[in-house]
Amino acid sequence: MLARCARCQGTFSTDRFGVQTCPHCGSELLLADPKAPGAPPPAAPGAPSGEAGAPGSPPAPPAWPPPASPQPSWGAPPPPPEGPPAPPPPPGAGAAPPAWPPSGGWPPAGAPPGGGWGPPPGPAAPPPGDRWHHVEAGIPAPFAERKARGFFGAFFETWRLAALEPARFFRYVRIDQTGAAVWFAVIAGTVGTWVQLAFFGLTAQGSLRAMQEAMRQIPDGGNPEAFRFLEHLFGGPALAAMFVVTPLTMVIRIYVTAAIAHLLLLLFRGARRGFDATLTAVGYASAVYLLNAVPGCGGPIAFVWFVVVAIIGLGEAHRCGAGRAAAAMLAPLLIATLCCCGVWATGFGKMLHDASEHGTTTTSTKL
Amino acid sequence: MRAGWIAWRRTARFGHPEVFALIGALSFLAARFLPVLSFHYPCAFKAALGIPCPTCGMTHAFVHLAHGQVAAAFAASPAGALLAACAWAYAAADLVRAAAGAPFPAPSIRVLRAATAAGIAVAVASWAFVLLREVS
Repeated sequence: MLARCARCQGTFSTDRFGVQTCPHCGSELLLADPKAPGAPPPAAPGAPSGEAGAPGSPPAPPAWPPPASPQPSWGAPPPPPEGPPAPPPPPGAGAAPPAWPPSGGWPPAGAPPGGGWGPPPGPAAPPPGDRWHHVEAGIPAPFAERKARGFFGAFFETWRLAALEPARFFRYVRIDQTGAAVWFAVIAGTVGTWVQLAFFGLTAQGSLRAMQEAMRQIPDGGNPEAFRFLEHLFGGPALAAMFVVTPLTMVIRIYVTAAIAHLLLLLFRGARRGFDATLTAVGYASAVYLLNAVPGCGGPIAFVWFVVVAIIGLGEAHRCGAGRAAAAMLAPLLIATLCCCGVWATGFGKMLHDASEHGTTTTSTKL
Repeated sequence: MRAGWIAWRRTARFGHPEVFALIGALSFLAARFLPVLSFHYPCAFKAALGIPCPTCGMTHAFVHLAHGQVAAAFAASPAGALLAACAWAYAAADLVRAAAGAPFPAPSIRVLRAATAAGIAVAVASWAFVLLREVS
């Protein structure tokens, strides 16, 4: 089950109730047993099952009240509001809800986030009409509700939210539905790659002829090894094999990318909501790999766009900010760049280049 | 069931740990049974900058290790050989664990941070080894 620390608002997994230590801030917490006499009812499935309070404080209420609940649950229950009741929501706040999500659509851009992401806990009531103060548990992505919403509608709505409004989407999306995120990424990436491969296949013969012509004009005949590799690559069997294994490689790519990003987030102390949040962010950010279908520039654009969306998504999903997320996503690139600069600055690169020109090294490094 | 560095967690029979185990097992099968070295694809990093990339030699390391040639694997890429050994050991252990229904030994955050830092250090050292090998 998931629990949330009343002090630092970080969530963590635990398998028991009672006194325990928050892994984020180290404070001692009391997680009330819902089966104990007088305990509040259990939380909804998929939601963190409790918010931990300090030992000695009154038993903590369920951390994630149902969406209709008017008050967030921050440790001890706040006192009832005094004075006149809160004014009704402003016109349009609750009227004519769109088709998704059922509770009134995604919060507007710039709306205060809910749960542990936002103002510190206190007795202050949320602003009138703010229906998103208790969405720490998240809103299902449209694609997670594809059975109810229709496959294509849900797919393209999710694509639009993830690719064009990533900050808002990843701030509110549920992180416990990783299956939907991976499935969505596999479909988007596979379709993009399949179109790209079909384009390669259709233009293969012309491209190879053009390359042959170009290589004839090079004095030393070019690199025959590279040409043989391209012939293999553009050949029918290789293309067919790539068609078949593309969905599998997408799954591997998503999990490996998420694993590396999560480890680096841990290193930069940004992984606050577990691996599920990272996998959700990477999965939905992979939506942009659909752009691989655009011939020529689609691949590079998709890669850069993916990095940007993943940075925003990781920052919002983990509540750690874009700085730590950017550090995690760009650290491998940064380390490689710094090492390259170091190699060149020390003159080592020139030595390698000279050695390569004088034939004292292999013509191609073994991969 | 906590032991400081490791927390033993009851997990679903097939969850994220098993996906990673399957990826590790697939990498072994590909390195052992597919003719991956027969594709002589040039390294784009080396073609552009003239120096090998940090992952140059990893394919050879995986294939050599899958065929039991430990020295050749470490000579090709120390980081690749270590990565392959760790991935395959993890895959075997986790598939056995999942089959037996045993709890998952989740390392603590401190252990994961230390392992990540060590992994980066190993990758950089391995890259330096490959660069030196190119010159010598």
